Amino acid sequence: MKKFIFILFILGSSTSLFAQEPAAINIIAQKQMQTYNQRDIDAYSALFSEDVKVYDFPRTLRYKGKDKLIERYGKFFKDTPELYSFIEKRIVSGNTIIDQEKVIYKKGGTPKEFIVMYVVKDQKIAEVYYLKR
Amino acid sequence: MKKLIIIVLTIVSCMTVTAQEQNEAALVVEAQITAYNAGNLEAFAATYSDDVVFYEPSMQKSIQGKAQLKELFGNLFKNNPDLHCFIDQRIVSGDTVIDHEKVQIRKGQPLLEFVAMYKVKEGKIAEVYFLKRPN
Repeated sequence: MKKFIFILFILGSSTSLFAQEPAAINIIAQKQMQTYNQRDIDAYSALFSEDVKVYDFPRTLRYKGKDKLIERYGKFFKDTPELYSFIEKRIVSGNTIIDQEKVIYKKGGTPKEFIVMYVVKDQKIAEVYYLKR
Repeated sequence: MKKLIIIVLTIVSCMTVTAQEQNEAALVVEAQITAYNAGNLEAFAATYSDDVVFYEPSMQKSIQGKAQLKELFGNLFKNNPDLHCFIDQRIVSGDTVIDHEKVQIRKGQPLLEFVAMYKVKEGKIAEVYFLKRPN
């Protein structure tokens, strides 16, 4: 019973913490990381707009369109079963998320660092900029 | 005794966090913010390289060279004695520092929000990219 109350308490406090956050964009940021780690290409790609553009900062286009993204990440998720990433630091400002991410490709491997900026429009990630890779 | 251990642990873990963030680039950017908040133009300009370039989100260049930087920030400091910059979040990675900044221009006015990316070369800020500016 004590345990149960404790769990309820934790649920309650995390809910209220969540309510303080500027909702939509933080949810997108969190889902992006979650679905990436689950290697769920459908849930992952659903977060991006149809004509998403992916750049090396500032203006070098790597590719555009959700089809391309699905092609790339679908294969990547399949080929990298031990993929795991985590956020070291995150900046959220207006419609923009900047993540300092560490990615592990194989268990025990050295994490690689990326700094990525996501610009959200109409509730979808419309632009991605690799600030550092 | 338990309390003491907790306090010591807390202090130690805070120190580790600080240590991670304090590479050379972060120290230069921090010195820049300190000088900005003191309205000290000479100390502020000293953290920048002579041929520093500022880029707007559109990638248009807004400042080129230290002379222009001194002119613009000299005026800013002179006209705004309440000027103060708070760092909300900071990302540090090698020569790159990204600051989520909230700036008070005048006391009592809403804070203006900026995201600035600093590239540090040879101990000086060489490039500044505004990733976000107030709308």
